[in-house]
Amino acid sequence: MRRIAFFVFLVVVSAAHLSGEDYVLGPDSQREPGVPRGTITQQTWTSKIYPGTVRDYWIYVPAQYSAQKPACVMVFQDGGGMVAETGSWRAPIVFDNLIHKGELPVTIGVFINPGVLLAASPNQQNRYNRSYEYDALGDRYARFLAEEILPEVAKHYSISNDPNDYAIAGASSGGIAALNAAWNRSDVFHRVVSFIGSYTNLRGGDTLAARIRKTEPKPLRVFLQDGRNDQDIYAGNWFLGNEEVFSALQYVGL
Amino acid sequence: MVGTEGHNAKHGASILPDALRWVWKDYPKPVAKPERVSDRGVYAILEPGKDWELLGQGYQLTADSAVDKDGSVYFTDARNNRIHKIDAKGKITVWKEGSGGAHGIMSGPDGRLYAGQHDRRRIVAYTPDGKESVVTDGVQTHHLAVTERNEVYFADAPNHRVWFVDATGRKRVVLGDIGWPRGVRVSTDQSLLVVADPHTKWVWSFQIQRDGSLINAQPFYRLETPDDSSESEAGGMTFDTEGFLYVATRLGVQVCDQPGRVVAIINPPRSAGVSDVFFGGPNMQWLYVTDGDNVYRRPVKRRGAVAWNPVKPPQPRL
Repeated sequence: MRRIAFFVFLVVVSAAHLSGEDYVLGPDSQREPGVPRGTITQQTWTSKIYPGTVRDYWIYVPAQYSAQKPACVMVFQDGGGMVAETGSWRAPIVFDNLIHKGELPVTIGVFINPGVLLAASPNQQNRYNRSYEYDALGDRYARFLAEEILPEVAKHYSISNDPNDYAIAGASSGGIAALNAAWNRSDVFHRVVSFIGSYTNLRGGDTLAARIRKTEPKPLRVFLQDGRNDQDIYAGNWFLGNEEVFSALQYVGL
Repeated sequence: MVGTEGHNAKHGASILPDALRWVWKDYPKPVAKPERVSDRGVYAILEPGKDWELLGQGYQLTADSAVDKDGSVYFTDARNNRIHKIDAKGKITVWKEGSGGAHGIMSGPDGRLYAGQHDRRRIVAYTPDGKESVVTDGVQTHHLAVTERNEVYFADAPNHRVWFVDATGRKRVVLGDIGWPRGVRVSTDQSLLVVADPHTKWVWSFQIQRDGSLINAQPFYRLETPDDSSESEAGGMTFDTEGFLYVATRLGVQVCDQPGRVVAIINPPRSAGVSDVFFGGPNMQWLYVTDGDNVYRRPVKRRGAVAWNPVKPPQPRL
């Protein structure tokens, strides 16, 4: 694993050095004729675990879904950006294409935004909960998903109960939220995707790597991505933070 | 996966399909616990491939536990007013009915089982045939420790004190200003007393004087805490023969080396954490935990320390 990662690193760095890296969306992120499209419905949620907060979330249901067969589930933080067809990520298009090709199981996507405590009057500001929910270590966000959101999804769709069938993904603070949620509740999620994760001291996230090293390993598969020119600010250096987490995951055999 | 971009979605979005393929690769094959990569870290303590085994369930406040010279284990079932016994095969039987609401228990080198009777506000000792005699009364405790000389230290949390009872039954306060003393244990070589303060991240360490006094206090062990609290919620504790301290906490069993560092965290059987941890079994090589309702055990590489056989642990690597 270490050798493979190092190889990838070398290839990417040398390619960047020669030509300047230009990342573009590939064919799996484009609409293909003849590929069945899933449906997306928008919902709102008022939380108890994050009292008073409201948020939007979107449920993507692939065309191949059948109530007879419990579906896999994948949760995305900052869901509004991830679910947009014309946004940076275009996750529903990717889901449609990969599920159609059989490269992804039949998976319901739960694209969820962070909460906002709405101000009581126009001359007051909202209290934005994104950092509180995403950057914090501990199990609160995982409990929010496991006790509030996933049971709500299960009311309307047939979804699995097996943590092997659950993935969680996000970028930046949404990335650390993904790994932290699965790491605290590996009885809920076994699969993690983290892009440019904030493993820095916004709210103590810099200590996650050492906590992973010390703790009895858990059944997780983690995809970790970051760029060498990621930000270097008061809370830490994002690339070094990601390297720490990568090294810790290797230390425990993940 | 390493790219060259800054804090933006360009690289991530371009590889989102690859990331999804990789994270779901070989589905539905289960994502397994990783293979042990070495004997370092948590596997210096744990036997690889073994997990918690549920021995008994449905108790009402498993407050504390003890092990006798044969390796048999006792645990209190405080609200059911009982003490149970676990034999070497893991079979559980009721050992004492009408235990006076016993919480804290520990076997003494004299072969008696010392018990803090919450409901009767006293400390008693049971001989192996169950005969009860009073050690001291007018006290209420949830955790106690018996020394090599059959003296008792016990925690008096509501009054923020730790008491000492000598072998003749005379008692006095030896520590009067600690936040919320819960677990108390005497170290592997009987030289130090450790006291958990669960509303903080600290376990305090004191040097024991010949007359039972405690000197040279330091908040020595620095436990890991959950993010939503600065409290370790430390409960029971135990030492191994290497001088490592095992602390039952909400995060699991935290294992501290002699210099007071958390070197391993053993996952709790349930996400709510554990309330007590102790060694038992014929060779003191099973690690037991309780979580209020249930009792579990798993085999480990270390052996538990016992008051009737003090050993000087090796000099730690600093």
